Amino acid sequence: MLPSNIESLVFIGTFLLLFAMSGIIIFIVFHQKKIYKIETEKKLLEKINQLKIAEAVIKSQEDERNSLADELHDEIVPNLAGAVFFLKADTGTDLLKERENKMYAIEIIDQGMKNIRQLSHLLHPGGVDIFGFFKALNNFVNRLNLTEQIDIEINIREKLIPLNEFYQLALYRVVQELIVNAIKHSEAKTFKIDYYIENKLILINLMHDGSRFNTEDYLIGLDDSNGIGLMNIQNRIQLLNGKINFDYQDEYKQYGILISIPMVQNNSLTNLT
Amino acid sequence: MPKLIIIITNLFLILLGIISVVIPAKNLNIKLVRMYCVFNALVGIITTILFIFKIPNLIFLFLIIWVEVIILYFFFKDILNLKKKHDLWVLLIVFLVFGSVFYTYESFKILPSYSRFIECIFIFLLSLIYYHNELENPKSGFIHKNPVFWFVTGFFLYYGGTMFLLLFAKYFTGDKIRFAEIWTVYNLLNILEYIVLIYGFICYRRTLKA
Repeated sequence: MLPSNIESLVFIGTFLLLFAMSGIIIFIVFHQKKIYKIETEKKLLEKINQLKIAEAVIKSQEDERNSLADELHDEIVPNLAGAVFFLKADTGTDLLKERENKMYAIEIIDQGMKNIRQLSHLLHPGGVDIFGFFKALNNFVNRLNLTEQIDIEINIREKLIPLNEFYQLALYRVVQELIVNAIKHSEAKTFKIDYYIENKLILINLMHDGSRFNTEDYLIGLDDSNGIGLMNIQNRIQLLNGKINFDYQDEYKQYGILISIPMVQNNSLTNLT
Repeated sequence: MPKLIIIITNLFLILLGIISVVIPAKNLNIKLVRMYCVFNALVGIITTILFIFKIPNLIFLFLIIWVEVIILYFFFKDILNLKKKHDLWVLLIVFLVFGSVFYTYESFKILPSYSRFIECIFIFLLSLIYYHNELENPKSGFIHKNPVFWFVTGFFLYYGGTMFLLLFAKYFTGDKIRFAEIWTVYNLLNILEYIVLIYGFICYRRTLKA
């Protein structure tokens, strides 16, 4: 048997329920906003910390490379040159044999000097600190083109690189590593590098005739403990707040790597350099 | 007054059906809400026509309960990132068991109060799970810009609000005045649901444009 005022009770119950539900919805909208703000701040702090670590790692790597380059250039090369000079000056009884030995030694040492000089060039910032990104990239490319095994064409559409020296070096290292990787692992022989600025983004499109390497392979490579080169690329891209995509470009029928970096490097780390 | 409310409700329902079809749905959850709206609009039109010609239309209320539950089950399954998906299966099975029991108990000549009540609890619980998830793991700071939030809110208000109305409505079928009062409140909640769902589609259109 239902009470006589059941209709009023149903209405009151319904309105109370609606009132409570409205309260829940309003609470969710405001509280969720608050939680999201806290979560975002936490993630931002984590990102800044990661960037700080990445920057410190890269900076220490660069310092180490510089000192190694200086060491090779200032110490080992003069020593080898001295040895060459000494061997040249040495005389013995078996003149013919000694001459042969000398020539052989000279050749080896000369080759060694060349190798060490090449190594020094590779380790050194390539002149980014002195001549800037474009000149350094050109030097690197010219050195590779001299081998006549590799053909790299650079197309710089915008003679402007709105990055400080440290970030230019990071970008240079990324391009350098990508080219070396494509030669080593994708057996690429021909490259085309396009540099341009679009929608406040610095864009570098690197196309090559090597074998398949797409974003999926890149991500797998990052997880691989042996993928130090890829990890360095990723760290530098993160440092630059940029993005990197590896895809087959139908337009050119080649594999391409697109690097995009925001023109404004607004992370708090710029002033550390 | 009740007739005017019925007309407005149906106009909103048709408007909702049109909007849901016009806006391109790219996600599964949007497609399911569209299906829900189109199905409701079609049933709304058919039941209104039957009502005008004084032909019994209660069978459609039974039909709508089952279809709504199945559509909304898949909608919530898509939007809730539950670790244990079988939790939702348990809810659906509970509904199906109780729904079937009540179906045999209730005939098509009276309002399906109990089945509807179970349906309301089912949707009400799923909406609460969604809100809980959003609080635990917020995906954006602007939940009010998320169309899914508005769809869930529409369902939450409608099914929560009508829970008791439909449970007791069948006791007033003999009293035309009191039944009309209940039905007016029910229709007002229907209008509220349609407005919130329309707003959800507007939000979705904005996100598509963005």
